[in-house]
Amino acid sequence: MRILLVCLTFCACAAEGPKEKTAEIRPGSTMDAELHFDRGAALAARGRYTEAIDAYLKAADLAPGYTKVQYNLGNAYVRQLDYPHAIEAYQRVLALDSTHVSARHNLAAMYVKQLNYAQAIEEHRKVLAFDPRHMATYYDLSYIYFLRGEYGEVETLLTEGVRRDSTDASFHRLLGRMRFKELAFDHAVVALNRSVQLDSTDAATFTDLAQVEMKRRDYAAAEQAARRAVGLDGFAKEAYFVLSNALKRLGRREESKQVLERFRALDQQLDKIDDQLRMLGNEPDDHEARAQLGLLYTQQGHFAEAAEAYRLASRIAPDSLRYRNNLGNLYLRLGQLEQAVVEYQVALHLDPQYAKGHYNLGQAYMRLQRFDEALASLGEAKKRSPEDVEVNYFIGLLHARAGDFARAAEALAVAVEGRPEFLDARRKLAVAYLKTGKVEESKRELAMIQKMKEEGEGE
Amino acid sequence: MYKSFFTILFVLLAGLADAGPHFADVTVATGIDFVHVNGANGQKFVIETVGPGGGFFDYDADGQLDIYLVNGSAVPGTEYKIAPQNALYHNKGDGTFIDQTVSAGVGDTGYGMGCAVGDIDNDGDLDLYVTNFGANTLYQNAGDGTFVDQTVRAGVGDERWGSSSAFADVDLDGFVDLYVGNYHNFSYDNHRLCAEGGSGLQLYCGPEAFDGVSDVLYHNNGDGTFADITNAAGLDSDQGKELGVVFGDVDLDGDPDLYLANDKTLNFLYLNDGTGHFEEEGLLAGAAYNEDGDVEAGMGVDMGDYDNDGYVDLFVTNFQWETNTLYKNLGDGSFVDETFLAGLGKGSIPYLAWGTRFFDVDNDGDRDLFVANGHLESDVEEYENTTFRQRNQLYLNVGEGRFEEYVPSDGALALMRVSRGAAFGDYDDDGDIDVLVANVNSAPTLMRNDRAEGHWVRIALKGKDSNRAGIGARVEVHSGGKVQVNEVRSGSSFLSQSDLRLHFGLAAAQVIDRVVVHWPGGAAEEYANLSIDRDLLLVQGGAQ
Repeated sequence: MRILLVCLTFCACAAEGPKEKTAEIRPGSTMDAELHFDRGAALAARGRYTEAIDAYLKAADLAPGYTKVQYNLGNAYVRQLDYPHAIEAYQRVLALDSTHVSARHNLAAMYVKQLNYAQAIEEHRKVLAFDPRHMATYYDLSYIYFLRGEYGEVETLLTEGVRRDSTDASFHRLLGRMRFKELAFDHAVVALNRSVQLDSTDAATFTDLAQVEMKRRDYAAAEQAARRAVGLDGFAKEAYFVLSNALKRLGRREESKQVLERFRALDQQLDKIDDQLRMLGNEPDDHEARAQLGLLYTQQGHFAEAAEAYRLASRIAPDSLRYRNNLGNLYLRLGQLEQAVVEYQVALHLDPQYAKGHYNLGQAYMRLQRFDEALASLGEAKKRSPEDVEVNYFIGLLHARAGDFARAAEALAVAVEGRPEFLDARRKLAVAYLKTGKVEESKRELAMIQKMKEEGEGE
Repeated sequence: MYKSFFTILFVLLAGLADAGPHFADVTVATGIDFVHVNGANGQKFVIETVGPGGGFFDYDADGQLDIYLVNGSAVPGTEYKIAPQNALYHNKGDGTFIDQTVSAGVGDTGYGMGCAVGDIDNDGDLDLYVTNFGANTLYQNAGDGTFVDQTVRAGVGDERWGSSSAFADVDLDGFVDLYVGNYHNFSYDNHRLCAEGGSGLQLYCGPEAFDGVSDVLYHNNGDGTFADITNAAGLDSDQGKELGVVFGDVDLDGDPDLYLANDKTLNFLYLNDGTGHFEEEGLLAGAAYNEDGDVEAGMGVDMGDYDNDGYVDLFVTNFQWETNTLYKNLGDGSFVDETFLAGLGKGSIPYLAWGTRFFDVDNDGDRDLFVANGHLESDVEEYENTTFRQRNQLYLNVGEGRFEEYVPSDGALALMRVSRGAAFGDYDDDGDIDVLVANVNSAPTLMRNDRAEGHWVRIALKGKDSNRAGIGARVEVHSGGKVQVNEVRSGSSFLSQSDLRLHFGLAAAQVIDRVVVHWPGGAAEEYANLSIDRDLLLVQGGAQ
C-alpha cells in the first residue's frame, strides 16, 4: 500500500518577545540566561544543534521559567531527531503557557513521529481550539485521520481548511488522495487537478493523478500526468511505473519496457536503501552504514534524506572529515547555505590542509554572495592545489567581478592551461586580456575558441 | 384471492432472491469434529497468524474425496494434554466422514501450516506433503489406506518456516518435483511485538520485521529420494516472503512456470525454460506489483482462465485495505492488472484475504472466484474499523471479463469466521464443487454447494510417460460454442490442496464436442463427442 510521508509542518518559529514569566529566574541570573539563550539561537541558526542544546540547557538551568528557552530547546532536539527530549521540552513550555500554539503543534508532530496518533489528535484539537486559523494544523490533523482511514474527519477538516484558504494545494491533494482511497475516481481527479493548478511543481501529486487516471482507464491522461511527474522528479519511481503501465495499455510496448527498466533501476537502489535501513535497525550506531545510506539517498536524488543520514553519521563520528564534507555538499544542493558553511568549516577544522574543503567553502560563500570570504577560501585551496582548474577558474571569476582583471587573467590562464578545452574559461580569459590591454592575447584566445568550435572540441 | 396472489408473489420473489448459489455448512452433520488450535497465549508469536490449510484428495482411490486438515501446536507457554495433530477424514460415500488419522498414520504433530498432494512414485496413489513451522513431513501413500513417513529418506524435511507447497514436474522427466515456499526467518529467539500507530497496542509484527529466506525446489530422483536443486534451478532468492505458490503454464510453452505471492515484497513470476531452469520475469511481465506500482501483502494465489481466452490468468489475495489483484494474461508473456475493470477492487478492500480459487460454482461455463477472509488480531475492533471474524466472499463471473460479488443472507457464505486456507472439490459427488475452509482456532467449514444447475464434466487424468497424476496437464473442453481450459494443479490457493480432477461447468450444453489433453512433456491427445454430467478418466495414450 502506498504510504505518504507524513508531511508535518514543523514550526521552528523564532522565539517570542520578552513577555516571559520571571518568577523562577534566580536573582541576577537573567542576564546570563539571555546570553546563553542568544548563543544557543545563534548556534542553532548555523545548524550546530548539539552546542545549541548545551547553551539552551544552561539558559534553562538559570531561568527555568523562560518558555522561549524551552521552546527553542524542543526545536533543537527535533533537529537532532531526539523526539523524547523534544516532547519533554514542549511539555515544559505548555506547563508554563498552555496557550502556546506553536509548542502544542510541534508536540503533536512529535507524537506522530512516535506513531502515537491518539495523543497527536488530542494536541492538534487543542491547537485549533486556541487558534482556529492555524492552517498547518488543519492539514496535519487531516493527515493523521487519513492514515487511520477516518475519512469523515478528513472531509470535515479539509472542507474547513479549504474554506479558510482555497489556494492551499496540499488540502486539495489530500482530498484527492482520500477520494482515490474511497474509489471515487472522478472526484479524485477533480481534486488532484485543482491541486496541480495551484502548485504545478509537486511530482507526487502528478503521480497520484496518473494513478487515478489509470483507474479511470484514461491512459492518455495517465501518461501525460506521469510524464509531468518524472519531468519534475527524475527519481519518482512510482511515476515511472504508472507511465510504463499507461504506455503498455496504449500499445506502445517498447517504450513501456524502456520506462520499466528505469523503474527497475530506481527500485534496486531503493532496495539497497531498505537493506541499509534494516541494518541500521540492528546497528543504529554504525556510522559507516549511515553514511552509506546517505550515499544511496544521494544517488536517488533524495538530498534531504541523504543530509539527514550524514548528519546522524556525523553525530556518531564527529571527527569524520568525509561525512562533514559530504553533508556540506548536500546542504549546498538543498540551498541551506549557512549550514553548508558550518559543515565545511568543521571539516577544515579537522584538516586545515584539505584543499577540497577550502574549495567547497569558497563555493558556499559565493552562493551567499560573500565574495571576499569566497576569494579567501579559494585562495587557501589554491595554496594547497595550485594547478586545480576549478579553483583557478573561480578565482578568476571573483577577481574579474572585483575589477582586478590582471589577477583574473593570471588565474584563468592557469585554468585554461590545465584544461585547454574549457571554452568558458577561455572566453573569460579573452575578456580579462582585453580589459588589461592585452589585445593580441585576447584575439588569440578568441581564435582558439573559434577553431575548437569548428573542430567540435571544447566543453 | 388477494392473499393467494401475495403468497404466490412472495414465493416468486423469494425464489428470485435465492436464485444464486447456495452453500450449506455441513461440517458437523458430516462428522467433521476437527478443531484447529494455534497455541496462542497472548505472547503473539507470528506463526499463530498464518495457518491453517487443508485439502481434498482421494487417498484410498475409492472415487470419493477425503479431507485432510492441518493443525497448529503449542507455543512456548502453552501446554496441551494431548498434542494437537493433523487429521484425515475418510469419505464414507454417504455424505459423511470418519476420522482415520491414526490408522492412516498421518497425524503429524508439528506446528502445521499447509499441505499439497502428488503421486511422487507414480504408483497410482496420492502422497501427501505437510508444511510446518519446523521440519516438514512427507507421507508416502502405501496404497492400502496407510501412509509411511518418508521425510528423512526422501530428504525433504526443510526445517524453516514452510508455507504453501506444490508438486510439479519442472523438468518434464515424468516424476513430480516438489516446491516449498518459506515465509521468513521468524524464530522464538527473534520474536518481538510491533506497536500499532495510535492505539499503543502491541501487535503481531508484519513481514517487514523479519528477513526473507530462500524457498526450496526438490528434484524427484525417481527412486524415492529428492535432491535440493533450488540454486541450480535459478530459484535461490531470499528476497521474497512467500505465502502463496502456484504452478501453471503462463506462456503456453508446455512447461510449468511458477508464480509466488509474497508478503510485502514484490511477487515473483519464474518462467521455466523447459529444462527445469527458471528466470524471474515478474516485473517485466507486469505481475510483480499492482497497477499503482505498490508492493502488496500477497497471501493466496491461483491461476485460471477467467475470460476463456485460452491463457491462464493470476489472482492474488492481499491484506486488508489493499485490493486483491487480478492479473490478466495478455498472451504475449505479459500481464495487466485488471482488478478494478473486472469489478474485484472495491469489494475486497475491507477484507484480509487468504485462500482462493477460480472455479465454476454454478456450472455455467465460466470461472467464478472464492476468497477466504479473516483478520490476524483478535482485538482488531479496538483500533480499526474492521472485525477479526470476516465473511468469505464469492464473486460470480458475469461475462465480458467482469465479476460481481454474490452476498447471500444465509448459508455458509454468510458465516463470519477467521478463515485461512480453502480447498475445492465435489465431496458429495453431485456434480458441483464444494468448498472446505480451514479456520483459525476453530472447526473448519465444509460448505456444500447446493444450487449449481448447469451440466458438468469431471476429468481425471492418468499419465503414463507423463507423471501418473497428470499434474501440469492442460485440458481444453470444447462444448456449447466455447472453449474452456484448465490445468491439473497441485497446491495453489493458500496452504491447501484441491481435488486434482478437473471440473468444467457446461451450462446447457448437451454434449462435449471435444476434449484435448496436453500432457506434460508429451503430445496432445484428443477425445470427441463425449457425454455430459459424468466423470471421465483419460489415460495417456488411450485417446480415440
